[in-house]
Amino acid sequence: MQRVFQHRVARFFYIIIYLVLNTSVAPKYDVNAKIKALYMYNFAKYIEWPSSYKTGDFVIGVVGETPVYQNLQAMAKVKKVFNQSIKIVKYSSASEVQKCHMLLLPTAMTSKVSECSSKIKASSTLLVTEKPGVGTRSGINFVVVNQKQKFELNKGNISSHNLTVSGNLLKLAIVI
Amino acid sequence: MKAHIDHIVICFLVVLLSNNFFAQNENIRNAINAYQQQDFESALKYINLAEQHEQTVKNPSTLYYKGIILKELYNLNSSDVNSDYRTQSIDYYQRFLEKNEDEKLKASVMKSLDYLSKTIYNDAAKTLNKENYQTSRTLFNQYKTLCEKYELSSQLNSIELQYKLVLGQVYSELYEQHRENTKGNKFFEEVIETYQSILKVDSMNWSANYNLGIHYYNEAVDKIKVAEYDLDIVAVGLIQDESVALFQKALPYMQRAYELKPNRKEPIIGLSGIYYSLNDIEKSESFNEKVKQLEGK
Repeated sequence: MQRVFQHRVARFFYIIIYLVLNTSVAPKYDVNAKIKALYMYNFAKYIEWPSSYKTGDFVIGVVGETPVYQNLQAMAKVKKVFNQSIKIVKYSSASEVQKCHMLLLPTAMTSKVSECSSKIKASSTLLVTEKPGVGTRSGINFVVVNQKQKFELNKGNISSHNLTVSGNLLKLAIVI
Repeated sequence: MKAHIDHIVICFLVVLLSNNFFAQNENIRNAINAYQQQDFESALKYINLAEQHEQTVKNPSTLYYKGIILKELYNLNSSDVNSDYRTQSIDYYQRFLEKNEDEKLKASVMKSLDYLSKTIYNDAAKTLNKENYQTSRTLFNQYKTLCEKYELSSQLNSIELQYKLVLGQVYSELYEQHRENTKGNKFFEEVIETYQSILKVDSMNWSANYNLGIHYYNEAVDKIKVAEYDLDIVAVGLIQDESVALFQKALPYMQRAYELKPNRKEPIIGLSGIYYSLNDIEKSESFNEKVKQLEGK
């Protein structure tokens, strides 16, 4: 009688769970470029330009190629510096540099720092560089401290361009 | 005269009890007949009657028969992942094993438990998706408990690791879906907990190392990526701190994934990205070169 009940068990196999490699790596994204752009927007807010620079577009010049450029372009589309629209201008060489509020000199173009300084000597332009040791020759210089983007601020160089730095910015900067 | 009456009473009771006893055996017989005719509903009805009676309830075979009938009822609708018949069948089989001493029957029940445990595992696998992951987890835990209690699978550990790897991916997808709302944090932590539990058992598991590295890496990138351009300068510093901390967490897992499979491109790309984001451009470039070498460029 018991045999009737026995072994009505079909062969049964485990369903194989297919493991798919988690390939959802974020597309290569330059976090450092975005952080620099975020800081640069804050430089525009925490530094005061002379009244003659407070009309028209707020011009940010970029010399040569840098991933920061794309971020600045994206920023310019959605943000203003107070009432001024932001305009990003790319210069392929230092000789092309014209009047602007901020001038970014990427690492690869650091050798052009003297030429750029000469071009902006008479204007209220904040020169932003991004190479260790160049802070003495620019207004703000991005540096890496403990794996993070920080910035050196050369108060003398900035004042010489008739720019006024807010105390809040000074507090966060490495003042040189 | 009194003795004569007593005798009549005793005889009457014996007949009464005997009839009752046979009636209960009759219920089991009817259950078996119905089972043989594949009328499992009737079989259940008869075995329930047998089970209610004192004489047959004590008989382990009642539990055995009921377990089998319930199993067949489950088989009629085996697509029901929450089948009560399956749960009850397992319960009766377990109760039977506690009382039974017949090795032959025991072997038969173990085969049935093995079969039912596999159906539970398969349902856990089928429901392992964003919509049903909670059901899946419950089912997998049932499977695991059964396997551990009756030593049903010699490969439980590797099966569990495989299950958790996919569970981690499901949590990862849920995190992506809910990252903007309050559930996001919960799923973010579930991903970490799931992969960590794998690494606790198998620290050299390539997929768990790589996936956990990627999980931290993607979160670190997203923290910066979604930042609004008018973020205050103090907040910029804070999100950078958070992002760097996440890249630092990603690093050892990605590094181990690379060491385990040095010819896999994904961890090398991951390491290049992590070092770049941690501002170690030299190391980032060296991993970029490795990618190019692998690609034969």
